[in-house]
Amino acid sequence: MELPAGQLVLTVAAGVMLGAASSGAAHRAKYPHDKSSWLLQVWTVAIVIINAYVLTVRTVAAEDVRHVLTNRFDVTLVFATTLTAVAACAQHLSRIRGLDGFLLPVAALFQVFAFVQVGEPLLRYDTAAWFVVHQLSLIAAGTFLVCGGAGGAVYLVLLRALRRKQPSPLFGHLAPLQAWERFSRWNLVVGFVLLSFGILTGICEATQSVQAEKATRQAWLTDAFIVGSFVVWGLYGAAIAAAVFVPRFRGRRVAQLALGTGALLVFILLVVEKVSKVH
Amino acid sequence: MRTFVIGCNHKTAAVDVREKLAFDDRRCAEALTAFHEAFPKAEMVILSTCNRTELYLTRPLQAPPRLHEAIEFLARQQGLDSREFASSLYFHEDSEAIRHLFRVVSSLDSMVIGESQILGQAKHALELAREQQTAGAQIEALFQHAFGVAKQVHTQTQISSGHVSVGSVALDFSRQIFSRFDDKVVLMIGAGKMGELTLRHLRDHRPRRVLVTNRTAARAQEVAQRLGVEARPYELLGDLLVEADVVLTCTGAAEPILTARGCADLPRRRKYRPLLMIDMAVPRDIEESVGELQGLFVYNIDDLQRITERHWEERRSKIGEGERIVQERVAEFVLERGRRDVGPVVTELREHFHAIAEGELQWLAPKLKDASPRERELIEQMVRRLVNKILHEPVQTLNEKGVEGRGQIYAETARRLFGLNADERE
Repeated sequence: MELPAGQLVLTVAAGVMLGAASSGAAHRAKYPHDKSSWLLQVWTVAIVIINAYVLTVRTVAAEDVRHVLTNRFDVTLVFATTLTAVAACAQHLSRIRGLDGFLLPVAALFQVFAFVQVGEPLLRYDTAAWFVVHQLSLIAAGTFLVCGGAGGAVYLVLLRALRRKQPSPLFGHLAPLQAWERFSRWNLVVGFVLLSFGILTGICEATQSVQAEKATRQAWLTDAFIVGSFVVWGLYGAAIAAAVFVPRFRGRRVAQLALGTGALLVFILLVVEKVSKVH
Repeated sequence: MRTFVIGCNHKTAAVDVREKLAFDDRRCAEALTAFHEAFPKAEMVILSTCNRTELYLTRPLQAPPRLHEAIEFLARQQGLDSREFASSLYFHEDSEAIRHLFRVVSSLDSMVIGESQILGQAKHALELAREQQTAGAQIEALFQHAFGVAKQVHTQTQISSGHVSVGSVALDFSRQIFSRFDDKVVLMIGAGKMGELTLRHLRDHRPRRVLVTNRTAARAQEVAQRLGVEARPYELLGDLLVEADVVLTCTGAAEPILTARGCADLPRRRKYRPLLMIDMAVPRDIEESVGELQGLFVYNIDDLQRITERHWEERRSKIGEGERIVQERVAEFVLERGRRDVGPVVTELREHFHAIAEGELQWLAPKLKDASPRERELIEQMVRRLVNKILHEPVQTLNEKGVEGRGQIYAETARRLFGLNADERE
């Protein structure tokens, strides 16, 4: 499905707004008492509304809900919107105060990446039920894992400020260290469960696919995206096992694992999927 | 109306003088009642804190109390001879008094610049005055304006950001590490004065338990009793460190009591839970390298003092901006008040002269029987124009003087010259 001029203008505007929101969040971290905080909140909600509007219009025009999940532009836009929505919520929750400053740039990145996906072939599927569940669980897993990574980044930034033993504008304007550790760990757990489920449903869909002939089935095993997913899956499994069962892997190490694997996930979604020829 | 303030503060009076002049709520209420009976036309707010006692007064131009009467009133209320404290007092009037109040409420005149307690104390003082009916429209407007100025100064300059006491900075760190404080265990090792002060500060934020340990058990018991916390044997220090979340050390030991080697196993025993360690002792009780262990955060007295000093510097650097805001708002308030002062007089003046003109026209009416309606209309117009032209210059002068902040004097003069509201004044 093409991207009509009106929708293009709206999504570009939302992208520009996301860029501005990212720098606004950075500015607020430096000047936390600035009166523009409420403006940032309204601004972020406006981005979510614009993106949601564009997605709704496209879904209605396609006369099929599954359209959003097959079109690469739409899927990426859904992901950017979900991340922005989480950032908007974070602006009101003291337990994850400051998360938006780390999440909005990632959302902006995906908003921009959505445009790169315009004109790409539609994702193929044969078993609609498996495909829908597969896509939805991967979007949800991605959101949790990116949030966990952002939480890990906040933890490490805060830890560095505390170790420096100097007054920092971050103090009092980011949630406490313990809260970030808990946030990262729980996002890892939930994200991992959803990712596992997404991978399983993906495998089910692929094996039942009439298009998946023998040669193609073999190609799946050498596909960079799928192999990458398995690598991420393994890393997160190890991270979660360590975070939950090994006391030594608490605090900084959980944050580093969450950040590292979150960054890897972003890399896979942005780069590996783009070059993958099979998925 | 005249506005003035008399009082003393930490800069002009020693603590023994401030103690004598201080009012608690009960005595403040009594003093306000006595003031209302003695000077019913005047308004007063008593601001009494540990660092200052000030009387803010407004009164009509010719009404009491004058300065010496206010000082005598203060002396009488405190059962003192005014000569005992007169040299410690300061006195400001009109715009200087307004400026002083704005500076006080904005915490630019406080011992700890930027502290926000004074704003609450000023609001409480105004509330007491309202209850005793010594806060009328004038002083109410003045204080409400002052509260607005304080808010502006705090918001625009961020003068109160960053804590300036060691205890508060220690608490800042604990808040940045721990999600909550009510489930935490605070342990104090030693019985030094600084440690005790900081412990008091932390205890006020209600941790789950507060423990004290010392090499001399009797000393630990004494401190624990004084602070209402639990004493523990020093021999159990290893276990206490596992149990605690915040550790304060303030022993007189010549060598560190907590070394990196001795604490090497501590993170594992604590299951890597974070531990905030605050070393208030000189020489230090905790080796610097202990802070490199996983989950352990070590701050010594120099770290904390360096931060408080930096916050002090930041606050001092913001005083200039705060003073500029105060100056602007004083000018704005004086201007507004000047306009309020002359506004009623201008109206009264116009009504007064037009009433005279109407009276004269009524006197003239029977004598103009032969005049045509057009001629009568022209005569009435001429009289009204004459009144307006006569009043033009005085009204303009009154408005100008109001803007200059001298409206009260000119308004009073106009009232007296033309006998406006004579009944009310009497």
